Amino acid sequence: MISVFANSIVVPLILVGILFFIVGTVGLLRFPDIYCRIHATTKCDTLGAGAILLAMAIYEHDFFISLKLILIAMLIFFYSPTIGHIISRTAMRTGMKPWKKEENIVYVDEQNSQYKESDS
Amino acid sequence: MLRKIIILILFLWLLWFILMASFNPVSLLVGLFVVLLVIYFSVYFFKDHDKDESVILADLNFNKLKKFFKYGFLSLIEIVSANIDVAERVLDPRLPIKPSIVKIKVPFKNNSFLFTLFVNTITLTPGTLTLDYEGEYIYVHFLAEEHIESLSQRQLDKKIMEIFDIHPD
Repeated sequence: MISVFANSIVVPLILVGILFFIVGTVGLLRFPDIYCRIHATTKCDTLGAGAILLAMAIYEHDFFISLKLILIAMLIFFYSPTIGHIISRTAMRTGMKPWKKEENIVYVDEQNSQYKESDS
Repeated sequence: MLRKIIILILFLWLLWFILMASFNPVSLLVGLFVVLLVIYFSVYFFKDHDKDESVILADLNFNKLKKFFKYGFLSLIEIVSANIDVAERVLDPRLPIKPSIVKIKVPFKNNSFLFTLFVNTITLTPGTLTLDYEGEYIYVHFLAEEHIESLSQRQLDKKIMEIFDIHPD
């Protein structure tokens, strides 16, 4: 009875964690530049890893091991924004240009070539 | 100063027991040695903070622990809403993002602990990422334009001031 109750919390938590890890990886591939990619990875990995570690802590019977897992989850909550900040600061100081939406609109018009002339 | 260090030694020693999960005398002595080594290397950082009234983990009491739990609850709400926001944007086929960088003034100029806490909380709120700092200004990268308004609506600086009971200078 207790294991049924525990599993009904553990399984949804692991599913939520897997979902956010997948979203973070898709965001890493889809977003255009390093700053937007850091947005996707820092946030989604924080919650994904936190949810999975919490589920493991509930599933584990040994008290000390679950305490360790909760400590690891707290560590991730502290270091994930810090490391995202360090990577983005290094990118900014080495002169990485942020992506702008307006520059990336491509006017493909075969009949009227006036767009291409005004663009250059 | 000495009281802070003694409390920190006891706290780190307790952490060692949690991580080792064994109580034989050898592990006890090795733990004390490691804790003293860590204190020896980190006591340099406490000297600057001794002047101002910053909140350090070393002088723990019940009131401060309550504040930390309040702050943890605040940041947990921010993390969950940020994740849902980013997930919506990533999974949307149109990719509705319009990045921009904004310079923001931080109210906690004299308190480096609260400055760090505020900047870390900004990174965890929806669509914001702290890039760099310059004196009392920080550069924040926004994922879309509506995040600029939502960050000022959240009033994170006022919430942190309320939690840690500090008045603006």
